Amino acid sequence: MKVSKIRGGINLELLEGERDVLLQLIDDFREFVMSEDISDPAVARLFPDAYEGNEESAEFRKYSEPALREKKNRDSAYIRSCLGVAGVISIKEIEVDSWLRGINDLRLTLGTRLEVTGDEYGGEIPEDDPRSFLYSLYGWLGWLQGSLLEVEF
Amino acid sequence: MGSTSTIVAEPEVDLQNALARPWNIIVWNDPINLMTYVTRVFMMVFGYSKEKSERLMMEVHSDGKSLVASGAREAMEQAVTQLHEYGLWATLEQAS
Repeated sequence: MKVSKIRGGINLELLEGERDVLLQLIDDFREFVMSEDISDPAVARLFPDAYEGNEESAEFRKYSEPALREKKNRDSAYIRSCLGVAGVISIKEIEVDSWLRGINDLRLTLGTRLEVTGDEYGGEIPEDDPRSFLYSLYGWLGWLQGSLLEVEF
Repeated sequence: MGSTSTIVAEPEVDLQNALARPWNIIVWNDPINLMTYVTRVFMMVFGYSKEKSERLMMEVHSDGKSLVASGAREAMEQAVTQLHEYGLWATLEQAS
């Protein structure tokens, strides 16, 4: 993975394997984000309560959640469309935040599943842990997002 | 002889909620969001300077939460929705 600043945006170069994994993750997410099962901690993290009180939260959720879900869907659809084109990915300056939000949604979902506690990039995981691939994926997503954030316009 | 002063309505100031108790936005610490990301979100959503955004981010990080904005309920609800779009853990409460 290589991130470089260009005029008016960012160039993102992904290895073929990286692109495949990200594509798969995005496609999984686009299915997952349609879930309204708020008892799932990952769904609850993506669509958090806005108030401490249940009644106010439910009321707020009723009118804000469909639009929020649509926004998350749009961001991931945009990333999906970028990944579908071969070669270097060019992200315009005004579209960088779509990438940041979309990658963040993946990190929130994966991080909640892995129950990460503190280390920003996932920390050291024993190799024989069956979830070690998911941890390294989580770390890689953090690295990608951090690299995009380092570019200043 | 008393002093005189005049007041002129400013169109950008919304007087409708001037006397109501304001609503506060609280952002809570979470172990997933990158610190540089949280700073960026405060700059984008509230238009805060990098310095102010970093200060608020550090407050979230070290104190577990931070009051990041205060104002009329509708405007604060819109801002919370934007924070949720970015994936921050944000809630609203009425100022005491």
